Amino acid sequence: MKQIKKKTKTLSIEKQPLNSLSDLFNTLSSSEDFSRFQFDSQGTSCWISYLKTMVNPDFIHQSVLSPLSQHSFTLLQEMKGILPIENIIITSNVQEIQDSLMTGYIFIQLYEQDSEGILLSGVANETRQVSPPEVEFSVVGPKESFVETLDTNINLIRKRLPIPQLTVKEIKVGKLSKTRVSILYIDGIADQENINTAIQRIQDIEYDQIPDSSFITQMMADNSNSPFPQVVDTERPDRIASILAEGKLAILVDGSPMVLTMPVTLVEFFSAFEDYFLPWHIASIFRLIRLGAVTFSVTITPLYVAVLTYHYQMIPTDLLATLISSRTDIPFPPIIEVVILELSIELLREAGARLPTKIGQTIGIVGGIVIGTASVEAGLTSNVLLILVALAALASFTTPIYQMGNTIRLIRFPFLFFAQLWGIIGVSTCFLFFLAHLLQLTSLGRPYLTPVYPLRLMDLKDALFRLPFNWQGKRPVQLRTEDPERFYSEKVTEKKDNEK
Amino acid sequence: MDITIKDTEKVSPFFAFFLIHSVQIGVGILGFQRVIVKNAGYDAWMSIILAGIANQVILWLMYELLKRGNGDLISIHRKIFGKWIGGFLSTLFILYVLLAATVFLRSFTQVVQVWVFPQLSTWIFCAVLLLLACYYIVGGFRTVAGLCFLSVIYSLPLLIVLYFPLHYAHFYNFFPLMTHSPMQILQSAKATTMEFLGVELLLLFYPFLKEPDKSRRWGHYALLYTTIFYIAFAIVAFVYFTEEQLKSTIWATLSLWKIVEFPIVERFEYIGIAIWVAVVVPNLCICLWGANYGMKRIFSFKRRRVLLILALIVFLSCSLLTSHPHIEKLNVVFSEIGFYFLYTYIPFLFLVQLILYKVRGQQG
Repeated sequence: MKQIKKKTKTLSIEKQPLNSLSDLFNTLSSSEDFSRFQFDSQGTSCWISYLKTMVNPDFIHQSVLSPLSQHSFTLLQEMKGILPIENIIITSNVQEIQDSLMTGYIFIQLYEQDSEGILLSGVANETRQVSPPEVEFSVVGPKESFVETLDTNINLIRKRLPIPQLTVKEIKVGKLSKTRVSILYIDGIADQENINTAIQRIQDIEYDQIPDSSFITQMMADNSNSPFPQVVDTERPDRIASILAEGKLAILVDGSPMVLTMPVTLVEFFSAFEDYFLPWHIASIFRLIRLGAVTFSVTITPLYVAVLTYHYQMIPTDLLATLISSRTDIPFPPIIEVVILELSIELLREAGARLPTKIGQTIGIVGGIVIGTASVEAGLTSNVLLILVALAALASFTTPIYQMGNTIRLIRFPFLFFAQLWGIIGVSTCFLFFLAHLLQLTSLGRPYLTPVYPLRLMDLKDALFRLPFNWQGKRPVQLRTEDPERFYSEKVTEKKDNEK
Repeated sequence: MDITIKDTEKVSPFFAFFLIHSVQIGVGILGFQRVIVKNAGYDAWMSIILAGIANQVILWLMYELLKRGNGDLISIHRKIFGKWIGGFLSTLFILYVLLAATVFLRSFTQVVQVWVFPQLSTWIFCAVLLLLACYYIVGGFRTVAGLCFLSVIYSLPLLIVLYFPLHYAHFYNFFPLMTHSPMQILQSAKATTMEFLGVELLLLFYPFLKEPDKSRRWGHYALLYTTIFYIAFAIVAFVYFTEEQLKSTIWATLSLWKIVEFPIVERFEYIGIAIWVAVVVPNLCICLWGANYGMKRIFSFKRRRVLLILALIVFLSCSLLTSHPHIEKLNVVFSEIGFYFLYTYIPFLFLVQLILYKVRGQQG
């Protein structure tokens, strides 16, 4: 065992705690947007302090200053009665005053040196309007997506699940950012063990600043070295509502329009929420196409390398002629050809992602059509490979969850390496390496490959296929929900139309 | 010394099916036809059935043994023979399991060398596959069981492609039936048992099954399925090849795959061998896992360190085996040991345990 040296380190913000109100005001007064003034009216006066940039000015005028000027008061209690605002706190706790001031509260004292005062919220919420989903767009179904404000996001979810059992647990994360992180679950459905694990993992996060939910994703992942995401992030409130009803947890982070869900399985990353809006057979076929596309995308170029480098006997004679004629002028072995093309597709994708939308489209056309055609004409790549690489890229974009899409794009490179090493046997070996990894991977402690392994026959109803709703009477076994029944399956089968 | 295995390490009883089946199916099936045809000719399919039935009996004995012993082979040995002799016998068994891993790995490497890459160096291929196996074993028994389960599903397409050679089938090859003496059929049956080896690993992973006695049924189904598997591969080879051809074809199954043709793929044996990697790695995993677990049980070693040493032993012995005759000889030695272990030692152990428990029961 390595000896862990115990060093007592203190961070600079923890070093100088602001112990008194005057310290706090001194520190704040170095900022231009801090405002502290005496307000006189009808013989009484009070001291008002707030951050101008965090508080709504209309609110100060209408709800604070005008009632105060119309009444006289001598006690904080009286003042509390005068102000037409709910949720007024009387406190002398410096830490609480500091935290509140920083998030847009107004602090009012009777006298300058008073340690006690009242806190009231005048937060100016600069928020974006709820807009249609862009990443997970669906033709049918609701067109709302989450925004950056945590409260708006919770509102979007509560609207869809108006039950008291929907519980919100809030934890502040980040030494500097003090980001609000909320865990949502339905009490009585979600497994208590899952909830506890998630809460404990979020509480254990040690970091200074959390700008986005993807930080939380990476910090609370079961295996943070895995290339596979272990959390589904979605921008659709409808998806979150139905996921909560299934018995999973949702994690909302203030400032992030992506909501996380745990625990998840591998197949969930390939199910679009639109699958539930379409008839079940059509949705199932789409889902299978998506899974097929992913398999194709990952394996096709490694197979090209394997077959053309080692096993050209496998190609039927007619096809071989086509391949040979397309490759006669190519000066490189297949692996170099493939790596160049795959990397240029990655280049295009990366350039397209970094550029503004309009220029991005142009880049796509220039890159895809011009470079592609030119490289074939110049004899650098074979046109068969160009088709395969383009198809593989297209296929990889069918993945509904963006994070998984990235994984799919990158895991082909180890496959390419093994294909060059041992041909088709190498591809198989590489697949087994990934399988070993996936078998060991968990999400919130629940196995990642369910319902395939451990085999949960009941959960297969919504995995590779999406079976009809009247088959979905049970919540996934994998989640160990406290209430496994979603509805009375017997009632579904009764046909009431004919009972006239 | 009783063992307690955490529930999170255990698997459902029906996984006994996948574990037993996948450890039995291995490199052997790629070329077992030649071996069984040697004595019984086209009547050898009866030998497979005989071997299957004999195996069912042995499996039943093993389950009885394990149920009474309530543990694995190591604790049974210890209860019957005491610490030292029991430990010695268990160590022999572990060595046998290691030998199995070596035989499986080296034979498969040879198949790859003969059929796909003549230039392939043995040591690097063995090293990578062993590394792969270690990766699974480090994940625990559940990961190994998961691999077995998925590999059974993964290799199903190989049964379907047996349909292709049937276009050229001569079903009259079988007739007249019983042209060989019962003795010859029995000899073939003995040769077939080599293909059924692996079932003895149950003696090690038995305590890892939840409610292990309920897995009995699944174990027997697994043997039945394996028997059907072998019969299917044998029959297709019998109707496709003449007897003389079969006797000189080392890997008849691979030769059968050669004629499979799809519009975009020819020479299916390459795909077959690639898929077979996923069949051989589970073999290797279970054997290596068993040896590792056994070593830990006997000597209370740290698991991971021993795993490395065991993998190194298998790696070295695979690398040192260079020529085909040597591998063939090791195969023969291994199957002889396996045969006598299954068909004499297991019944012997069963009887000893039975008598011992009767005597002790009367005393108590």
